[in-house]
Amino acid sequence: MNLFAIALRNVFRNPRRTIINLVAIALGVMISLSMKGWVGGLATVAYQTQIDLDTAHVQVLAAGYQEEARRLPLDLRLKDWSASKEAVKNIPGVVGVGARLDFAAQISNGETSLQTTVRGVDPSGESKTNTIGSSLVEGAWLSGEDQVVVGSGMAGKLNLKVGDQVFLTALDQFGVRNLVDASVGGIFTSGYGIFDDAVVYTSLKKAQETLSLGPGDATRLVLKFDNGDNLERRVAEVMVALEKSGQGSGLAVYSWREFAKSLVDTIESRVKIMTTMLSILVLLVTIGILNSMSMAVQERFQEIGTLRAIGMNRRKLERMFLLEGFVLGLAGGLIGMLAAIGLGVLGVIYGLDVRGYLPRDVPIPLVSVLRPLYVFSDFPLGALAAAFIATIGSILPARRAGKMLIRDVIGTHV
Amino acid sequence: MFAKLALLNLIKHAKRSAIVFAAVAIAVAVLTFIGGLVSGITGTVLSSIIPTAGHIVITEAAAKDAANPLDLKFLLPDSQSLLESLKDERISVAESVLTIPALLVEPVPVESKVEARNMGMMGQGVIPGTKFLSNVRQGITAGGFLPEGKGVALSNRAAKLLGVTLGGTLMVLTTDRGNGPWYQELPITGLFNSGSEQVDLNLFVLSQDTARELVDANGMSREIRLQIKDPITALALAADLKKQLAGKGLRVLPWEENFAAVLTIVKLLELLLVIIRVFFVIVAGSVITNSVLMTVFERTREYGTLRAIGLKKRQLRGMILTEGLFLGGLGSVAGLLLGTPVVLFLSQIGLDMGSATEYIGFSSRIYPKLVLYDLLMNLTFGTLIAVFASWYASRVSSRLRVNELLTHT
Amino acid sequence: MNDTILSVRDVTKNYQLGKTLIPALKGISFDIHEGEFLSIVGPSGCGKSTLLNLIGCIDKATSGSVTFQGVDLASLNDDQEAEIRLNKIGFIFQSFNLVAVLNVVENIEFPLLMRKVPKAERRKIVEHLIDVVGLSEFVGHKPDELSGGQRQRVAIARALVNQPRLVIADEPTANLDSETSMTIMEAMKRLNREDKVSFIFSTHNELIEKYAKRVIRLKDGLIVGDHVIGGQ
Repeated sequence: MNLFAIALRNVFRNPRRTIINLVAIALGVMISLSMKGWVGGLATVAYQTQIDLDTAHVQVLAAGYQEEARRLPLDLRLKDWSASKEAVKNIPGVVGVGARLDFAAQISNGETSLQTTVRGVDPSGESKTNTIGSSLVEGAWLSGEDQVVVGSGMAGKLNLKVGDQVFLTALDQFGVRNLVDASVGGIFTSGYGIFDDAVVYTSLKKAQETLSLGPGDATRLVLKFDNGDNLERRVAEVMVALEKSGQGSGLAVYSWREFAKSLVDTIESRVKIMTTMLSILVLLVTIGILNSMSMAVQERFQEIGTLRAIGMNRRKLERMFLLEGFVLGLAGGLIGMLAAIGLGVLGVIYGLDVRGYLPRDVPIPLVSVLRPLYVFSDFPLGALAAAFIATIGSILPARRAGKMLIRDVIGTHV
Repeated sequence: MFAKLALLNLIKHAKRSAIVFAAVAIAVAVLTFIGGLVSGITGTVLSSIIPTAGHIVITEAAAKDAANPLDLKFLLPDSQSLLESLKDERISVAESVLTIPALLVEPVPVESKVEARNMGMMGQGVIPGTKFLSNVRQGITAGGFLPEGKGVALSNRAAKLLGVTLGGTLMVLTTDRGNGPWYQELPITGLFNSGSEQVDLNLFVLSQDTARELVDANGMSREIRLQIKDPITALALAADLKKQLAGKGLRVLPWEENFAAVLTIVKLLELLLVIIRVFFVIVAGSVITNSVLMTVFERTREYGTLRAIGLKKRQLRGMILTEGLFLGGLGSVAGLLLGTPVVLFLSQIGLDMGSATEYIGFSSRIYPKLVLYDLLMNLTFGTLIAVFASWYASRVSSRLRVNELLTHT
Repeated sequence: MNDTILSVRDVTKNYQLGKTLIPALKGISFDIHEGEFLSIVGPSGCGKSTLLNLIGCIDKATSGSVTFQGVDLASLNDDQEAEIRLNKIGFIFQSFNLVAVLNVVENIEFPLLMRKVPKAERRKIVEHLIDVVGLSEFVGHKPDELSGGQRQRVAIARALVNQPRLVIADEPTANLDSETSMTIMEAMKRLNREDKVSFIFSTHNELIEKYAKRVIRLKDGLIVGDHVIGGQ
């Protein structure tokens, strides 16, 4: 009979104590894994939506623009966006590069006007960097230069249909108020309220005209990659590519996180809170295991003495108790893991549709049902972590058992 | 008698007691912190919203479903009369406010080819001596809040973006009620840091009279804002006002409705913290229960002795419960002593939540708050969980016959 | 002859050990009279401790009756049993079983506290008993500061503090050396003589057995001998 088998039996010799310990460990593991899954799911949906609808992965702007972005400064702009695009479009992993010219404007249907932010885009490039095209519910994506594409929220407010005429009023780069007209080419519904209510797309050329800018002028380049990994590296690659082509001076490159700070902070602050709480839970469970194993050692004075008397050395004895802790932790961890898998499967199948409960103007893009996201390796890792923590909790009691003198523990009367 | 015995036993088995004590203390400390955070979130949001927007807002009813609620056709035509009609002793402050969308433009000579920096912002036209916008009033860093006569106050950040300074001027462009453009060049008479990026970058302040001039809305305002003496009466007062103002084309909005979006986010955050709290209670509870159980079972033979010399079952249970009460009570107090200073400290300096709370709290700092009710609840929880564990252990112990207790190993 | 204080009639006691039924007592009958100093002897496993547990209201018989001062112990509920143990019976254990956190005085007066005896009276009673068992110099000591013999003397004093009619001692000298054992037995005997308290003790030590005035011999759960020993 090996030590592991002995440890297994010993763990279950006091069922009540073991069950309570298992409950604590299993709960801790289940909670940790479930939370990780749901937060991961939330982050994935929200971040991916942000990237797909709005920011793409990486953006190139004039140096200093971001610090003044609130006023949509026309003076801080890319002066030759096509050259910049040429410089970056062949970077490995790039699937789309678009140029945007952002400006504040009033959009009017002739009766009612609304303040909005307009994005002048190069239609073909932009369509490879975002998914607005696939969110169109009416019309088509910017098939002409004098068109606008609006969100369904805005269309609803202004009572717009495809083909209707709208007027855009904006201050050009000289501070002169310009009025241009356009026709509604398409209406989209992304599911992200803020977007659907407030964003208007038009052609880059139309935007440049409205703002009295030249054909090379744009606010930013947006780059979409095949995946969102290694963003820091990609940002560096873009910078290098721009510098190599002589475009680098006066430009700054950012990852998408720069443009979604409140979203990222919201999710990351939740993660921080939960990580802190879970650490404290781990501490509590460790204390519980420590207590439990101490009791086990105390109860088995005579047994310890007997084992030592018949030849077990200190190290083996300590290992036996450590193994018991390990087994306890592993058993609890496995139970917790299974529970988390069960909950996870339910979560993935049914999901949580919070869209109806969130107000429209919440800056968290939840355009689909929320589902937890699990990395498969998290589950066995969770169970192993529990085993590890329980083993840590058993170290002191195991040491104590090892240090006992045989004569003191044989025939002890309590 | 039992109290003394309980205390002596706890001291004698100090290590064992310390473990239960520590588990209770940690649990209660964490719950105190979480409770402080939850109260702080609500408190911070309330302290941001109410001083800015008031407990109740009265506006034109038609604005609600309009495409552009900021359209000037939705102004209250005679705000003074409306104010005078609102005589209710529950109201502590009633003011009219005229909010106007405007384009603020850096004044540059027309002939220069330099772009005039500009930003669309919301002008808050308020009466001199307004009791609202306290985060702006208290955030003045230079100049004054509202001038005598014409002038604007804006945030330092907005001023920097527009390239203007205190003492300089700003072009304020609006569209008046006739849909014609209008502007005034106004002196910059005050600069502020409100503590909220959302306020700093979107709001500027001017006198209501100046705002009325800019949009040609003499005697008009966008809304009436009310502050109430006792916030709990807000809903009741709103209901009464709805009745009083029925048929006048007005809408009465208690702040919960006005800021429903913000409240939803706050509630979600609170829900998250409640969930964390519940799980914490369960795990902490099971650890504490285990520890207490083991402590009790360690002394089964001692209990057998006491029963053998005449202690009744009930008295034995009482003794065990007393120990649980001590451990739970003292541990909870220790937990409160651990957690309270942390909450107090953070309530002074705030907890930086980054821009996560910019949206919900109008401020990036959340100030945890100590609420006596929460502290009492945490104290009760810590004590109860140890008492419950002791009760459970005592039930198990007292079920054994005396001889079983005596021969227990 | 003195009054009968305890009557055991056809008592059996079985224990369930897993799936096995162990008959510890197979039909015991005897009486104990007031003032008796009686030992129950027999080899290990003969049922001595079981019998003492039944007499001491610590356990209940499977069948038969145990009547103490006219009361059938089987008819008592838990609280009533506790009352008997508190007021009528004293217990002395093999392992002393003192409360570790209480000192000598507090251990002895514990049963008085349970009876809510006023402080002044308690002190008087305890002081007297401490004198009787010869522990005046150790009043503030905790059990772990006392020798085995001293601990057992505290236990004796505790057993007597409520002036029981019967004191039960289960192998009271098993953990003591021979000299101390004899001291303890002498103390018990003196109390029996002076206060007329009945003592029943179990032992497997022949030397200790000799202290008894009457010996009941058990073997395999049955009485195999019951005789009075003259003049000790």
